[in-house]
Amino acid sequence: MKLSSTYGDSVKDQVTQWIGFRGLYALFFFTPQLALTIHWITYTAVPLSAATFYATLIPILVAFMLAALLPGKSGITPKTLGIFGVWALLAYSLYDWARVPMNLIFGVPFWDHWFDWGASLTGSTGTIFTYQNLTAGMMQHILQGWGFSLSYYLLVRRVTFFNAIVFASFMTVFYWVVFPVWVLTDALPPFIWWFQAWMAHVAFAAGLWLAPKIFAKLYYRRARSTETGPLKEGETSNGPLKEEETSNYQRRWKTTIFGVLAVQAFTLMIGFIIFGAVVGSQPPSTYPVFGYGKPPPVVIDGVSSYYWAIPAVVIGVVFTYLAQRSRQVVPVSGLKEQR
Amino acid sequence: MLLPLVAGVVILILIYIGPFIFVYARTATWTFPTIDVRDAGAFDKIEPSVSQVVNLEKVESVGEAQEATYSLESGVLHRKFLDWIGFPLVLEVNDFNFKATGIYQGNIIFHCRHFETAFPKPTGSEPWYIYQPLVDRDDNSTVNVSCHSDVGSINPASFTSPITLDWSMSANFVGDRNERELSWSDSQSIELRDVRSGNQESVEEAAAEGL
Repeated sequence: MKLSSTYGDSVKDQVTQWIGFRGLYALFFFTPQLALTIHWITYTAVPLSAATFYATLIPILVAFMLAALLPGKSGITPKTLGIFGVWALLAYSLYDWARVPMNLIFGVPFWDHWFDWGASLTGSTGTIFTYQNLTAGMMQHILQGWGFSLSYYLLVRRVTFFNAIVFASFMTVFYWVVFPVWVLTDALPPFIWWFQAWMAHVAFAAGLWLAPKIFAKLYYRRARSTETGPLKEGETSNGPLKEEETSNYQRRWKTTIFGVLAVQAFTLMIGFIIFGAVVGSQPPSTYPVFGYGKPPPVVIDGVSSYYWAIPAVVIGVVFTYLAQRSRQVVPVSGLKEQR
Repeated sequence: MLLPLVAGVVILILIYIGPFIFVYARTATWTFPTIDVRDAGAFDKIEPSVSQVVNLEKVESVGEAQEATYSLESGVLHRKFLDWIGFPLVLEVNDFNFKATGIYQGNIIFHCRHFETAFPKPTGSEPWYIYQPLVDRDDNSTVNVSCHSDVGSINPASFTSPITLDWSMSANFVGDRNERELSWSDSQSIELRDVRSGNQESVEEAAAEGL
């Protein structure tokens, strides 16, 4: 009875922390993307400079002030923000690395918008194709990736590959919606563009998952201190979790794989539906944007991409079932033996 | 112990900055050269346009003389081009300057002069479905040029043979990252059309019928 009461209180605390503080902080660090979204959905009527100042800089400053003023309840302190900030550098780098071969092989550029963003940030006149604009736009891009990563680390109590994939899938869907609808140059993008968006976000998820491990190896093993060191497995910024709190997170690799595949299938389902809506809402393009100018191959004569969502759902359900079946809540000590 | 740490940090730094080094390198070796080639191609494709028909709009008395007002269409063709990623754009046209002289049997019968600060073009911020038709609309751009006679003694309605138009035009064309000043001049025969009070008849035809 006592145990269940304690566990209930723990869940309540977690929910309170998440909604009251972790969710709030995550929103604050989502704001680089918010600024860009404001710039896009107003069809650039709001300059990126103004949007970034009001919708990014001020919220992030407020987040750091709140972290200093309100420590304790959420477990988020300026120090944890600093640690997460360092971890967050890796994910967007891997995201960009994933896009490099796609440029070399298929000629799809990924820095074309950086010139636009840079021009809007700096207010430069004349041609937008300058190194100054490229640099300013690149900083904006880095800020977005970094902000997204920080939001992830703030949201999750424990970094796992599964929740990193779930977060990246949300980003992929967001990207698939916003770009074709509001960002002019990507109207009716070719299949390779949709594929690249998905692939790069999977790399982003890998970065989210790997960063704490890499930093733990590089730094933490040298002089670990539970007071000041970065988090280790089973720890949160509140301190080590009790066994009953962590048991839900101890997954077999099979469960993780099946779960990840299920999430990917459902993401694909959303992708097909969005793609069908985007292609259906746009007039046929007479211009070979990105040198392709054709609808993606998922649209076959007479077969709308909506239909392709059906097998994606079936695959998603199958993998969800398999993940559920392979999932066993076991004591942490027993898990190592099972592995 | 220190070496693996240093190596790890170096590798991490390379992972962080690698994609951005790639972007700068590709910008220098691919983006900018491609843009320059596309811009040059767009400039070469531009053609001047001067209408073959000059409309006689009105003839009015100014003191003891008569002044005739004519109009013709002039502009540039094929502004549309594809940028470095295959995205359709139109060349920006600024400071469009057009001058022309109408000559009939060795006499100057009218002068034209027109200056246009900038031709219309899509801003690039429009939604795609609005943008595409605008690009097509602005591919060929012409302006209506008003011309005036300074020889009141010649009755425009009596012209019987072709009129020669000597013209010149210039404008500043701006592509993605290059601009070029282009100018043309030529001489061509034109048809004079009397459009006063709904009359769409060619002046030469009317004069021939009168004979």
